[in-house]
Amino acid sequence: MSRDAPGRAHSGVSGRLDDVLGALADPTRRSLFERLRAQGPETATNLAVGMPVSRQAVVKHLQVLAEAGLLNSERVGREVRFEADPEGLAGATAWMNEAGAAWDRRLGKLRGRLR
Amino acid sequence: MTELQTTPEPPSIEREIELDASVEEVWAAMCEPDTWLADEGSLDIEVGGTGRLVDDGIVRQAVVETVEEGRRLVYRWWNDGDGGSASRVELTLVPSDGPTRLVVRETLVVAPTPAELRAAPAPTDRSAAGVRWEVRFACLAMRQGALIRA
Repeated sequence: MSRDAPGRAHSGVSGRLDDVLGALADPTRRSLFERLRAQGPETATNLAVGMPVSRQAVVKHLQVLAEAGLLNSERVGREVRFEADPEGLAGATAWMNEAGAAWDRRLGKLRGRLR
Repeated sequence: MTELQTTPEPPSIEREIELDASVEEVWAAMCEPDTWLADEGSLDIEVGGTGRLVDDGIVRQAVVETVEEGRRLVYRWWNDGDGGSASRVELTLVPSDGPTRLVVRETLVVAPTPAELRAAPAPTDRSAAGVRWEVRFACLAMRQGALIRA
């Protein structure tokens, strides 16, 4: 891998990462995403049951999650079924790998300096 | 990484290292960012202090949030230019009779959009915690960075 490759990779995923972070910053969307991940595919109508917000609001939240790449949707009869997309967190995972490697390098330099 | 699979909290990483030096020595070394934190650049180690750091070919703007001398340094940094994701770095020193432990935690935060940059008011209310405040803080820092560069 060339020396500036991590920089390009980082800026490549950064826009996407912001979408993911923004989508998950809202507690309602976070709980919807967690439910779909834990319980599998579900329709907006069923997801709205027991929620303190309207079905329309749930649909909007689901759209934001889908635009961030965190959900896939599939039309089933008259309803749309939403499903968590495990690939949606791939950018975040890549960031964690890059950041971890960078800190290993930096801490190695600090240790060398203090030797 | 396992954590990320079970809870979609903001992604973060943590590292811990034991250094065969006193807290004072480690802190002094920590405060020279161009010797370890980045290949080149500088960062003013004071609350609100700004800097520009080039590390492994990546250019970042940074702003210092917290300085507890000899104990804790918190700063936020983000890629220069592309409006990419920002992250917050917390460096904490844990003293002991033997080696000094340094704990690093880096957490992704939402980077401000250009519209938010233009509309950002000054961060006056620190109690209004959360993403919005963080965005405003980063905005202010970017403005300061722009002024210093100008």
